[in-house]
Amino acid sequence: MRKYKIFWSLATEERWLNQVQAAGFYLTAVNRLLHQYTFRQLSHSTSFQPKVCLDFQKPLSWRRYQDYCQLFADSGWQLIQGSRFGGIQYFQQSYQAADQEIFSDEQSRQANWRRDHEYARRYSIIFLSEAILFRVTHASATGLDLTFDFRQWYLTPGIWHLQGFSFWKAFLIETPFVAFRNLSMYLFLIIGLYYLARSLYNGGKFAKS
Amino acid sequence: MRDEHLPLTETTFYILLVLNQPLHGYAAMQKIRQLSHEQVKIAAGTMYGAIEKLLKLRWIQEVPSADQRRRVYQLTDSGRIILKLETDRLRELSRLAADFNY
Repeated sequence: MRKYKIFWSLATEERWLNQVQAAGFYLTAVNRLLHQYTFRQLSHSTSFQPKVCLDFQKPLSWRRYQDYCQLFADSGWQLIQGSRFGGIQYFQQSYQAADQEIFSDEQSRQANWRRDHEYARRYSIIFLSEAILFRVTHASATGLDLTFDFRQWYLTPGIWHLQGFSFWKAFLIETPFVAFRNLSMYLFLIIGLYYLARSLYNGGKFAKS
Repeated sequence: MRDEHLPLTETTFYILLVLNQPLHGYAAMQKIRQLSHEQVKIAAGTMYGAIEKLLKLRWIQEVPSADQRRRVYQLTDSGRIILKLETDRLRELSRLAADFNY
């Protein structure tokens, strides 16, 4: 079973994953880019309903990441999805007697949310300034015109007056550059706004240290 | 003037105490569980965060070991000093409570 869903905080994502699991499924894979979650049905013979917990990590060296995963594995948490380059690490409880939580005190639980929050804030700044940079460089080439007219995206002089083969040649040659300049701007804008929303949503959830 | 890091959290105190001998993270968790008669159960994420913090403070350090997959840690001299200060503080508290017949 595949599900697509966007979350604004670790807490809501974790809650939703465990709700789905409680209905007789277990998480097998996560695609962060597509926001895609893959579940499989629990076998009827088992009464064990595993729990999923999310930890947010900064980038770690290969050795530290291995030690990190091993510590969780020793404690009964199997890594479903994660990367040593940072981000959300999805852990699944591997046996019934294992701990119910990956955090045993409130401070470390909040420190986890804070890591996610700071990462989201940093990424919103990076992506939004990229989007603005693209817009400004585009504006300096064409003049600041905020109307949505894709013909303005093409910079070849007189391209829209060309005919037949010479038009298509100029059009096809320039299209990749246009796509790169403009669509990446919108992509950065969307990603930037996603992280901005995420950092703002998370911001009210915990006390500042 | 009291050290700015005092008082320590219970988690920190236990970790420093068991790292008088070299242990990896999970062994330290097990040991704390046993020493506290199952009262203090530190979970993996909390343990990892605490180790990172203690390494940064240089109260513990990584020591070489044969285990390729697990990093092993031990108390440093400054860790020993802070543990001593905290123990003195707790002892004083306990003595004070005794004066009040507790």
